[in-house]
Amino acid sequence: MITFHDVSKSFITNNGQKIKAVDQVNLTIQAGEIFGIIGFSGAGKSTLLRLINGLELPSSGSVEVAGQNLAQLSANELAKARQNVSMIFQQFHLLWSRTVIENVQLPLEIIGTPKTQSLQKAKELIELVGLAGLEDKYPSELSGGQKQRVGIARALANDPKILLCDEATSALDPQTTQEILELLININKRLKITIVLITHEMDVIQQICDHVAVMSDGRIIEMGEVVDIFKHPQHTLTRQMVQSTGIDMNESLIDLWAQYSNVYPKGTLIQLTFDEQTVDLPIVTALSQKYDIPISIVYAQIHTLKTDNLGKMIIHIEVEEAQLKQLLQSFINAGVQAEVIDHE
Amino acid sequence: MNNNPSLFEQYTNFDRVNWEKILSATYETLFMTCFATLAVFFLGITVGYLLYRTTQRSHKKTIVAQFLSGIVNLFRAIPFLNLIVLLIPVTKLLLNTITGPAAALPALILSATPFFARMVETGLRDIDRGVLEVADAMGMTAWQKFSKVYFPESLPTIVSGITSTAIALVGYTAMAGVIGAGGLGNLAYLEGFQRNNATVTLVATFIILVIVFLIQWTGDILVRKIDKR
Ligand SMILES: Nc1ncnc2c1ncn2[C@@H]1O[C@H](COP(=O)(O)OP(=O)(O)OP(=O)(O)O)[C@@H](O)[C@H]1O
Ligand SMILES: [Mg+2]
Repeated sequence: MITFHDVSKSFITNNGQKIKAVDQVNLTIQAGEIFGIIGFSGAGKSTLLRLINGLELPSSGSVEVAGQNLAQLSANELAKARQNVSMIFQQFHLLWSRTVIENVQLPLEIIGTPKTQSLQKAKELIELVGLAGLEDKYPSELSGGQKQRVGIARALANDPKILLCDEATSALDPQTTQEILELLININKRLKITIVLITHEMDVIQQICDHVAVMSDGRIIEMGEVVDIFKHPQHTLTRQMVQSTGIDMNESLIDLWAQYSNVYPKGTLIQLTFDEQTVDLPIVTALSQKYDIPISIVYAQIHTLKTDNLGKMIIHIEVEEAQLKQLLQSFINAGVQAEVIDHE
Repeated sequence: MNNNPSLFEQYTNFDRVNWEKILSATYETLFMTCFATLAVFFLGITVGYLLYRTTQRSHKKTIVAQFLSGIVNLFRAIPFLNLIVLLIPVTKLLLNTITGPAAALPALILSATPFFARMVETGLRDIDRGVLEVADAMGMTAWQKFSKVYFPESLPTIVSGITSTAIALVGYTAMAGVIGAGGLGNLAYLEGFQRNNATVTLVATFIILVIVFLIQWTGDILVRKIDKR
């Protein structure tokens, strides 16, 4: 759906300096997925997003959207191509001079949709985003969450193929953020719209994205399936971000291990990692009964990603070497990753 | 007859007031104000929009921008009285007369347009930049952007701007009396000053005040009604 080939974008600042906002980016976004871009302020995320709807053109490299290279389009063709791409923003950017329904109708006015038709469509969309009854309110009379819903309805009005979200939930409280994220997933599923969202919150990525790219200083430093990034973050920055969500898959567990090795000076600590298939099976209990050994659960946590549930568990046992080997093998056979983290 | 009328009598000698003259002078003042305001409204929005567009970040400070800005500042600096006298030959050429309410119009419009254009420019600058980005992302044409974003989103500033402008214009029409433009100011000058008729001056002043208050009141109500921010 969207392909970046070696895309760079530079700006000349007011004092004549050259800034590379986007630097040699290659990426592919599949039709129908939710793709997240995460990075700190100034990483170049918004610029990357603006390259997708042609508000910026690349300094070098090429951006292909729905099979069209944006830089090669005439002004007319570009305007038409933009009809396929909509955008929502952190600060909503609604027209205060228009009511809710008039805001939603705006994109339809631009393409000359007849009045009755556009009214019908706007009503449907307002219903879809859960604002029925508020059609004639002005944005100043709405809460942040409601404003963002208007933004979403407006963005959907011209039946786009792609929805770009620039920090769409950053100005909202956690509860409202949840609601908006659910709405986005809903839209992605029901309307089959490809969503590209940028954020500085890993929680958002965790909850709704299929793929994620981590950006720093204009470059993509890490990219892949969200589950993989959460399981095996490569870059320090990514690791920090993953940790910030409280899904302490790696580094921070080391502290836990240290802690528990004191509590359990004897025996073995084993870390188990469950995936979607195994996370809700009673494997530990089953094996405990099968081999008739007591297994104490030291630590357990399940994290819900969009595509996967990830379970982490630390167990403690005191058994013979041979039985330990057997037990580990049984875990692996059951599809659970088992790792000895502390032994005697 | 009392040869030495008291101050009170000087101001309340309504027998010497020619109400017909007052009425027609009021009409002339209203005509000049309304016509000039209307013209300034359209001209000022156009000039204000051009001022704004040519100095936007995406444009370089072009020659057009500097030229426009220079002209605007120039006309804002010329005192109205000088301007009206300065324009006499032009007015004669345009209207074939240099007296009567119409003759005041070129000077009124020329002096008020820069004043109002600057206010329009400020209003446009105050529009949320994000909203303009939305407009671009939607693929709006320049005219759509003007009619759907620039104009409605800066309307409160435009309305309060044109209100102040109209009030200033009422004051200018009084000064236009010097070239015999008619109106209440002219009447106060001819009757009140030259013929020593303070009552006429008082009445004329009162009517001018009423006009000014009416304009202010209408403007305030309009702004309150349209400003949904
Ligand atoms: N039009 C522009 N002119 C000059 N510099 C720009 C322009 N747009 C962006 N930049 C610069 O490019 C860099 C990346 O900006 P960008 O807005 O893409 O970052 P971001 O990741 O979206 O940050 P944030 O999280 O703060 O929104 C910044 O250093 C910014 O100052
Ligand atoms: Mg940004």
